[in-house]
Amino acid sequence: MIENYIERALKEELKIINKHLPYKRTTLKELMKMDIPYIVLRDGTTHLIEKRELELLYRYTGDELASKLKIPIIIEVNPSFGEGAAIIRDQIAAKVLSLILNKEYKEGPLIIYMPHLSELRRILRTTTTVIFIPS
Amino acid sequence: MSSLLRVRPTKIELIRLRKRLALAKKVHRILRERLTILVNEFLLKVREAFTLRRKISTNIISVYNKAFLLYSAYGENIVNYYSVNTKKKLKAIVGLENIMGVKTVTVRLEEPEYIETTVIKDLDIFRKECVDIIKDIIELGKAEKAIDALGREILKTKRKVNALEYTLIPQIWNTIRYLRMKFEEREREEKARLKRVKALLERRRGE
Repeated sequence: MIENYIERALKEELKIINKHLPYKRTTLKELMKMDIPYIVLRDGTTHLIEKRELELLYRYTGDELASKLKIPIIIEVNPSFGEGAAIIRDQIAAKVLSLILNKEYKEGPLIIYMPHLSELRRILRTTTTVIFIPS
Repeated sequence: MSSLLRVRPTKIELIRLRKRLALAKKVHRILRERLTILVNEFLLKVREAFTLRRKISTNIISVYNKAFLLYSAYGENIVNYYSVNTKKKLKAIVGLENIMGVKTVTVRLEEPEYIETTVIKDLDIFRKECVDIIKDIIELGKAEKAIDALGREILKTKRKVNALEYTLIPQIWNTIRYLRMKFEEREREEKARLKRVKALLERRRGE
């Protein structure tokens, strides 16, 4: 009986680990138009976004890419990549973040490591979010 | 706590345990990654709070000194006149910020509108410094609140990771090993029994 509870608790843990993800992602341009920029998360709460961060992103993207860049930028953490590695699959976001991090980027997903992730979270705390992918 | 789970020694139970072990390992890996990231966020916030506290401690002395000087030079009336000049009062919007599932309070400050006067330049500078220090104090409050929430979440996650690492996974692993040994023993018993039966049958045939 108790084993079933443990198994259920483990499964539940996997379910709630990504509850901080947004219900719907919004473009940078739309957020810039908002008086108080915010997004709704999967757990139903609202997450306020710093205008300073939006302005910083806008400076890097310009007007054209701002309507394509979805906020929050999703950083994928998957233990199968190895400990401390993370990946950004969105190409526009990858391009912008590589510019912010001063990192070389050609095409495809951008792979970053823990120091980069810390730096990124320091600069773009409210406009980035981390997703955990169980492998 | 016993190092073995209480299960029936059957093959189906072994399969179930293997599945549970895989699930526990998966959760453990994910939680460990989350813990690392949470600790990183925590350290960032601690650094931010430390810098802000130091900045406020140095700035507040100069603001107090300036306030004292202005009061003594121009009196109370002119200071009151300046506070009336502020069109829109300092407004703070309180909301939630979600750091990896950890909810913390965030405050956004709406800048007040001032009428710049060149009559007494010192008062303008003083007012600007006051707003800056209020902004810093709010930022510090946010950082300290986040440190508190992150610290609690780290403790919780650490407990989960440790429970998985030192109790649940070894328990399942030991039970699987025990079941395997039990099945091997059964197999050996079965072989010995078969040999005995074979020998018995041969003896009967010989008679």
